Amino acid sequence: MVFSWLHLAIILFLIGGLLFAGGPLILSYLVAPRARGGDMGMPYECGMRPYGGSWTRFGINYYVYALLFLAFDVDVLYLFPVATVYRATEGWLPFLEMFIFLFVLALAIIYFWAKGVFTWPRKVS
Amino acid sequence: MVFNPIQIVPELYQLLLILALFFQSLGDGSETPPAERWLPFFAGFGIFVAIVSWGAEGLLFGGAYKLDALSQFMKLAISAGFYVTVLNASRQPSLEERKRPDYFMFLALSAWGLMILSSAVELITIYLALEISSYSLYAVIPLRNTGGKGDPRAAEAGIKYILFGAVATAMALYGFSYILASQHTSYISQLAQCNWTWDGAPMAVVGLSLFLGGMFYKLALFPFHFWCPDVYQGASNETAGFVATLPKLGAVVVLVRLATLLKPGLEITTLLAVLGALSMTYGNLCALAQKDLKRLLGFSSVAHAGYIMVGLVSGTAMGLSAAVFYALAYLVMNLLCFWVISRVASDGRNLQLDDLNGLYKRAPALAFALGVGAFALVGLPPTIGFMGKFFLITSAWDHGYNWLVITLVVNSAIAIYYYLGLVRHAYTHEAGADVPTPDNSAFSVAGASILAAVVLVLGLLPSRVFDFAILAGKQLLP
Repeated sequence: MVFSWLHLAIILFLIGGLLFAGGPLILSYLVAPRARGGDMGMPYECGMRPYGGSWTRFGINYYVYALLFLAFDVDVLYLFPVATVYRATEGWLPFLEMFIFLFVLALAIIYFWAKGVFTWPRKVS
Repeated sequence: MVFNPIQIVPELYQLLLILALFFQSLGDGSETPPAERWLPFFAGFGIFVAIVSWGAEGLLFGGAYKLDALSQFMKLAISAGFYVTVLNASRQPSLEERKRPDYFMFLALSAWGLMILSSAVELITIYLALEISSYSLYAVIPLRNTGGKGDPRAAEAGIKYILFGAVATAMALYGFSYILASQHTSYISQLAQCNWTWDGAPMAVVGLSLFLGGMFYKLALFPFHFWCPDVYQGASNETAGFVATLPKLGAVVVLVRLATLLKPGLEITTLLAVLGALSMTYGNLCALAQKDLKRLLGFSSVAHAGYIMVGLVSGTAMGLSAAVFYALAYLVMNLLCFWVISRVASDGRNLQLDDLNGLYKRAPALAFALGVGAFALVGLPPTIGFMGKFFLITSAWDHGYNWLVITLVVNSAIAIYYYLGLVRHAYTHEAGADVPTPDNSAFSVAGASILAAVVLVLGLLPSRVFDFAILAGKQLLP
């Protein structure tokens, strides 16, 4: 087997990949400022002093919405390329394909709806 | 584009079932008949629907979807397997009432993905079909209810399956990018004309190995087997019966299609052979030490994944046919074993080997069926397991991988101990104090007898089915 530039490229890519994953961890370990006390324990910094420490409990009701938003946001991303080429298409087939895609998405929303994801859960007292 | 819906009628029918279950899962279930009552009948009808499109041939959807003997054979096997698993799961003690339509919907969706997978001849289509089938299983595995609340073991199994699956998927996609970059196509028919030697196209070889890794994960081949025993143990008996059988068929069908790219002596072929040998040895040795019945079957499927590799490395139509036939044999044998397990553990517990003690007195029919299943898994005549191994060995001998065939035979000898251990516990030990009450109803006995009869009849008269497998192999490698 001859060691060619392609193999070197593959090895370089592997090293690059490792550095890409491990580099930020090492870098942040090296350059991160280490501070303790003062305002470090605050839940967030906004210029006004918030009530309570960062160990207070947060409502996690939003996480489902965040997940759903993310899912549909990514789905909508797929609609942009379709929108740009849609003018150049002919016949009903592209419309049908788009309809199937959106229909499945709609079914997913109905499923979440029926399973009660959109009802605001009552706060646990 | 000529598109005749009759050609894909099994997929359409399955989709119809999914939609019906979907709309049922939206309601609270008070007005509709329970899913576990009506679904078995319609799933059984699905077998006949699969027969209708038996001879369908053609290339659909822009060349990404191929109907040939292999795909139709697999679709029939998948619909039959789906019928048995649905029937098996219809009396599941560890499944909540209101979650049943959802549970069956995900099972149907998974089987639908596998049907598409068996026809896909383009790498992205293969990937999508595989993900449809996997995602549904991720949702199903944690659904196990013991003592009024969710079972933590099942949740653990679900998380493990998702995390390992995500890693395997990422690997497969990364490999796909390499294949596309170096061979400039993702259609298997065009890839078959490409060069797959390490000297000629190293990038493509790395890419294909990684892509195959994703399939190995589904098949639970050696370096990707970690999830297998844990998931079987954590999931309920009936769910494990699905996870252990049908997805393996899907993985085999993709591997068989991709094996048409390979010739004996290529680096990837050798990789397949080495992984197969490691897989069977490791699986069998680990299974020797197991006490939990489902863990034992988990390691057994790691070993069986290795056996299937024997058919893929020879590079002949006969080898591919043998692999397809062995996948069918594996499906039937495991359906039988999981049927018996689900019926013996009528309270939904995890069976230990000692729970089988004295089964011949408590449930003679189930004990006999378990014996048939164990003999088939060992590969003793007159069962389908023997015929499957026989075809594998004869097809692979003299194609440069004789050492692999010898490893298979040695491993079959090792495996005798733990498979026949099942029979030993069922027939020679007397029952202890805390053994589960087996389900001896006509339903349970009839299912076990029919599956056992299939194992025996296909072992005695395999020629008809094997002819179909040969036809499938010859279409792939003329």
